[in-house]
Amino acid sequence: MGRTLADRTIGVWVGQSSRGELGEFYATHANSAKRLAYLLTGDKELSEDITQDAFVKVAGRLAGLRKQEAAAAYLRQTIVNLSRSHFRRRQVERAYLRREAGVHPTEAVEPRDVLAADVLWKELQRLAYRQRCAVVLRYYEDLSEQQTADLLGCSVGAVKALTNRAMEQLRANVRSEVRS
Amino acid sequence: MSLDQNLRTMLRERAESVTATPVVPERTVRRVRMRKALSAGGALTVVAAVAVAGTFAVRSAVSTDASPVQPAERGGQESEQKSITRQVEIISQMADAINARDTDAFIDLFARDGVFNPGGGFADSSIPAAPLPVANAGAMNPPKVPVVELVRAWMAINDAWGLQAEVEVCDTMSGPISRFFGRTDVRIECEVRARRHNLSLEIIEGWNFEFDGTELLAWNLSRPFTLYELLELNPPDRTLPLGYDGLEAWEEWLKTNRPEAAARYLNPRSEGCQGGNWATEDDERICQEAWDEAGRSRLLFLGAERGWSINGYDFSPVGYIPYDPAYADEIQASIQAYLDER
Repeated sequence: MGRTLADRTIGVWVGQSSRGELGEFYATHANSAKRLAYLLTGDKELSEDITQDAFVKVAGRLAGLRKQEAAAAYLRQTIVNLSRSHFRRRQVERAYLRREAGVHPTEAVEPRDVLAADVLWKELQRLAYRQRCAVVLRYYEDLSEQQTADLLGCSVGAVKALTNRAMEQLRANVRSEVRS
Repeated sequence: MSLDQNLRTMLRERAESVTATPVVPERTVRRVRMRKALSAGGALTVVAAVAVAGTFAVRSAVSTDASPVQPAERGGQESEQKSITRQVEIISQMADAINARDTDAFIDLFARDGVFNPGGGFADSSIPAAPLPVANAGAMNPPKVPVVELVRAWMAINDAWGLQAEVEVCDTMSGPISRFFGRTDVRIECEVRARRHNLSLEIIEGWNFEFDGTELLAWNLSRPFTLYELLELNPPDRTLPLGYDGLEAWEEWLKTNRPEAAARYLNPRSEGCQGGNWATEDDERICQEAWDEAGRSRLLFLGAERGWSINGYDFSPVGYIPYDPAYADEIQASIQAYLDER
């Protein structure tokens, strides 16, 4: 079983700049970062882009970080933020361009893994971003409600509500899909 | 098996179906290198001057292998570093030109067909509320008046509020993402400490640049539909007394204590998504969701009820400072009175 970002601590790269340390940092965290991005976006190519973006950002910002264990949390936060930004940017920009052009949309093609046959996976992708994020952080990263709330910038109560609604929706939709 | 267990299993299996590129991609290394050159804590001009000399020192800091640098590779790095140096210079010079209210110098920094987003729209532009072609050459819809006049009017708005811009840190972003140019090869986002002295207001803005090599194709402020997210409305380490919350507190104070002045100075913001001529209800919903998520940054969605005339050109503000600069002196005095009383 793969380790999540929460399992890991950062190597010696933080705060230093000697040869090869970026590579070491990357080797330790890249898979976990990309996997989290993939679960949040449902798109393999996009998750690779987000992972690289995250490493560029983290490489520039961790120089002064004293608590090494904070680096994994910082990387996770960056992945969550970038995933949300990419997702929202694409959605909103598409809507905006349609408004500017005065045209109605043709069939929307969502960036979805075409091999994703698993009903639960497909239903997960249909959740609103914050709901999906709450589910992934709670059930994949095994974060506590408080940690999830910190990452999403909301209250613990909001995390509970997001997760409960997401699970209800998943349960109902999976049941419906299976029946059909 | 319960839904919880199924979900956990599915997530693990899905996650393990992807793996990252095993070593840091060269493109990522280049971006880190560029970021190091661009992020100098307010000392961009110094960085620009030394960037070429520092090429190999910078490279060694982010290198991922121990192989020696080959001559051809070194030539490529030198060329790239020259581009970075020029890009850094342009960003720094843009801040200088705005701070000096030097319209000609500002325009000269752009490519012939470059565009900038002035944080609102000029009624005389053929594309109000959208980026404005800096030079008419190559523009599909050239504005009806010389662009230099519109830029001068925009500079006058900055002058009215006493804008002083200080570039703090920049970052390159992945992908040639642009609505305007297919030839953008790098997009750079900068955090800029924007002090508007006549409003006693200090915030951190996002300035976004698109380059083709050393040609500046586009510049714009953080806006809702570009969704760059560099913005700090209430920087805790500011040197001026007010962040954006403070400015809003002054507005409330003014409404309570000087209602007549408030009616003249304050320009109510319009709502963001309603009545926006959206193509579909779904698009309006998407806008509304973005609005709901934007938090305080939603201010960037907002237009204002009234436009104003500046240097003879009608301007419609979109963003966070909707006051007519014609009242700048009075507003400055009012804010000072508020600060004295606070």
